[in-house]
Amino acid sequence: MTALHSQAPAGETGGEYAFAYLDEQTKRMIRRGLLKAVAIPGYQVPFGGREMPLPYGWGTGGMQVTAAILGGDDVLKVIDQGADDTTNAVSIRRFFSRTAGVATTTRTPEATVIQTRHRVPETPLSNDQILVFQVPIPEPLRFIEPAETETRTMHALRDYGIMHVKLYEDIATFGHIATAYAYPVTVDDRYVMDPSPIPKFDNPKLDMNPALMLFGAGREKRLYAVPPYTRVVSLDFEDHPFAVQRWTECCAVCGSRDSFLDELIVDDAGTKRFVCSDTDYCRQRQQETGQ
Amino acid sequence: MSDAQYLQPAFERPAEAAQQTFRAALRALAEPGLARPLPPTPPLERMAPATYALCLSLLDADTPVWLAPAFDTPLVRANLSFHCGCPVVERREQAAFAVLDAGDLADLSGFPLGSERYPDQSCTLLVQLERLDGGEMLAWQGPGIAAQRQVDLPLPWHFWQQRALHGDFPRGLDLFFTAGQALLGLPRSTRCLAPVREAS
Amino acid sequence: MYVAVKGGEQAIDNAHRLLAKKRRGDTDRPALEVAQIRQQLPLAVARVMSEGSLYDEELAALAIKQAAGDLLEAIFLLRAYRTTLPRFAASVPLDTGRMQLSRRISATFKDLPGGQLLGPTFDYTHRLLDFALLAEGEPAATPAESAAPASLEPCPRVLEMLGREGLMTPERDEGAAVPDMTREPLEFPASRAQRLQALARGDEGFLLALGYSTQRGYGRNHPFAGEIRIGEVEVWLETPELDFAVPLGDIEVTECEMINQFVGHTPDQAQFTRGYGLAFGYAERKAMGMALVDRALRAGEYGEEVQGPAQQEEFVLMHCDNVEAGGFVSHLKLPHYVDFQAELELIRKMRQPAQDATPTEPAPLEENRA
Repeated sequence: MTALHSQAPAGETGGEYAFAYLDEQTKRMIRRGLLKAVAIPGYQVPFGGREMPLPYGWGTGGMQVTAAILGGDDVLKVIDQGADDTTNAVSIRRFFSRTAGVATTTRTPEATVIQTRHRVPETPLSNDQILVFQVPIPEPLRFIEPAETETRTMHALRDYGIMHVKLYEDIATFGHIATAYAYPVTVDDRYVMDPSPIPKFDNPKLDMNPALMLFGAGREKRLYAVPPYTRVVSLDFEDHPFAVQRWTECCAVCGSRDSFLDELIVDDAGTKRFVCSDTDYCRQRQQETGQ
Repeated sequence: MSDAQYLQPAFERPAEAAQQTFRAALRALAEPGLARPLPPTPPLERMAPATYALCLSLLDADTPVWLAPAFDTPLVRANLSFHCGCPVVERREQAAFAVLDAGDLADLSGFPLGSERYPDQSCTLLVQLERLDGGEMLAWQGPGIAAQRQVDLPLPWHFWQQRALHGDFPRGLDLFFTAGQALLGLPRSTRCLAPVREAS
Repeated sequence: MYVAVKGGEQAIDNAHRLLAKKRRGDTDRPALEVAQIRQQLPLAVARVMSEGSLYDEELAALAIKQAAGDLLEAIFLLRAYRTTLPRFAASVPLDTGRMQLSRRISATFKDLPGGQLLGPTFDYTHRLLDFALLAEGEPAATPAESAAPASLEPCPRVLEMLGREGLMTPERDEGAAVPDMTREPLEFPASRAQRLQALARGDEGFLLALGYSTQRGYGRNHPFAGEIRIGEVEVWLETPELDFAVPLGDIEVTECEMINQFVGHTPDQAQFTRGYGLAFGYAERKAMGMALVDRALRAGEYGEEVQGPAQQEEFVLMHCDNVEAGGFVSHLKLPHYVDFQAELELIRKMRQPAQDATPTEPAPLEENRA
C-alpha cells in the first residue's frame, strides 16, 4: 500500500508546499500558542511542534514561529552569531525566500521580522519589529533539575530557590556567577526565563525593549514571549550584581567600543584580533565613519 | 432549510487574511489597550467583521467554542462549522474560545482559567462591543505598556469585578474586545487601575 | 587582514554538489533504482517507515537513496515530508488477529493453534559472509518456490488464549480519543497510548539498548516472547459519509507481545502482564525492544519500584526520537563563536587573580548594569 503522496500538500501558493512551508492548520496552532505566550510573559507554552525540513537544534523552533507570523509584506532578516552571512543564517533566509517569497534584508532597521540565534542586534529595535529567537533548551532550570515534571511545579509555585543556590555555589567556587550566556532572567517579576544562549552582554537589551520578542524551541516543543516594554531582570545578588562583558580592545574594523566582539586568532603565534559579532552594525559604523 | 442555504462568505483570501488578522491580534495582545484595525471581512449575522475575522483566523477542529445566546444561531453555527470546523460546545468549561457581547459580562464564571502548571490551558474570550472607547478612563499597566496607558473601554463596572474574580495570575482569562473592523487586547497580565480622577 | 571564514551561498551550493557526487559514486556503475532499494533492502525500508511514521515503501526507498544509505537521514526526510500531508482520518484499529502471516513464533508454547511459522528470518542463518553474493550471482541455495502459503485461517493470538484463562491482566480500551503526539505536545505523566506512539517511532538502537538493560537487571520484568507475528493486515476506514468501514489496503507489520512477570494482590489473583511492540514492515528487533520498554514503563501502573532508566517515562520518551537526538547533537557543529567568546571572557576573568603577572592576556573589564 502506498500513502497518497501524489497529492501535493495543501497550500494556496499553488506550489509544492504551502506559504512558508507550514500548512494553515499548523500555523493556527502555533499562532494560538503565541497568543498565550504573549499573555503570560516568560511562561513556556507547550505546542505541537512539527518536523521541519531542517534538523532539530538548527533553528526549527524559531523557523516555526517565523513561518506562523510571516506575511507577504514582511521583510525578513536572519542572523546567527550576530552575522547575516554565517551558513545557517544563509540557509534559513533562503528557506523563507524560497517558500514564502518574502523580501529579505541584512539591515536591522529595514527588517520587520528578525530571526536570530545567539544574539540581540546592537542596533536598537523599534516597536514595529518582531525578534524571533531560536531556543535549544527553553527550561532555565533544566541543568539543575532534568525532570520536566519537577521544573513545571517549580514554575507553578514560583519556587526558584534551586536557581539561586546554583548561582551562589558558583560564587563560592569560582568567585563569580559562572554563567556567561543563556543567563537567566525574571520576566515581569514572575517567571524565570531562559533568554536563549545569547551572551549575558545582550541581557540588558531585553529589558523594556520596544520590540516584541518571541522564542521558539522546536525539539522541546515550547513557545514563550516577552511583549514590548516588559521588565526583564537578570538574576543576581546584592553583593554580586549582574554585569556584562566588556573588552579593552575595540573592533578592528569599525572601532566600536560598545559592541560584542568576536575573537579571531590571526596567526600561528596566537595573535588576536577582535571584530564586531553584529555584521550589520559594523557595516553601518564603517559607512558612518567613511572607512 | 439546508445547511448550504445558511452559508455566508468568509475571508476572500483565507491564508493572507488569517495571517493579517493574527498579526493584528498578536500586536493587540502584546500592547494591551491599543485598538488595531483588521483586514476587511464581512459580518456574520450579529457577528461584527472583527469578531468573525478572529474566529476565521484562530478557530478550527482543535478549538471548542462557546457561543453566548446572542450569537448562537443556526446561521452562525453552520458557518463556523463550515469555515472553521470548530465544535460548538454547550458548557463553558469545555471552551477554548468563547464569543460574548457586553450583556454577558456580568458573569464570567465557568470558563477554563488554566492551572498553575498549565496556565495556557485557559479560555480566550472574544467580546463584541458597540465601540472601543467612550467608557470610564482606566490606567492600564504591565507588559506591553511602557508606563501607563489610558483606556476607556465602554464596560460595565461589574466586568472588572468578574475579571478580578476569575484571574489569579498566571491563571486567568485573555480577552479581545471587538467593534466593527477593530480589536483591542486585554491579556491577563495587564493591571487595570482604578479610574483616573482629577483631585478635586 | 585575516577575515573570519564565514560560509555563504556559494559554500552551501558547493557542499550540495559534493554531496550529490558522493551519493552517486562511480558513474560508470548504473545508478540504484528506487524500485531496487524497495525490493532488495526491505528491512531498511521498514525501519525508515516505522521511525519516519509514514507507511510508504516507495518514498522510504527514495529517502534511503537520497540519504546515501544513512537511515536516520532517510527517516528525517520522510518525517519532514509527512508533516506537510493533510490528515484525513484515523483508521479503525488494526486487527492483527486477522493478519495474513508470513512468520509467527511463540517462545512459550511448543505447539499451539495456528502452529509456529518460521518464515523468512536470519535467526538460524550462520553468519558467514556469502561470497556468492559478492560475485553478484544468486546464493547457493536458491529460495524454494514451494514455501507453503500462509494459512488463510485466522490464527488466534497466544496472549488471547491465556487471557481467556484469566491469566493475563486485561487491556482496557477506555474508548477515549486517540491522542496524536505529532500534533499535541507530550505532557508528563503520559498516557499509555502516547507512550506507545513515541516508542513506535523511537530509535531502534535506543529501544534495543534499553530493553537489553531491563534484561540485565535495570528494571527487570521477566519477559517471555509470548508471540511475534509478521504479516499483512488490512487497514479499514470509517468515514462520516458511510455507515460502514471500507478497506484501504494491506500493510505489513510486525507485532510482538511479551508475557511478563505476574502481579496481583493475593496469590489467587496473580496474572501475567504484557509488553507490546508494533512496527511497520519486517522489524522484529524493533518490536521486541519496544515491547520490553513498554512493559518497563508500566512500572507505575503495577506499583513497581522504578530502578532503571527504561522505567523512567520522561527519560525514555524525551530521548527515544532519533530525529530530535540527531539534530541536537549535530547542532554542535553550528558556530558558537558568541557563546564561546562569553565563556572565554569568564574563564580568563576567573583565572585573573592567580596569574596577574601575564601581561599578554587582554583583561576584560567589568561594567555594571546600565
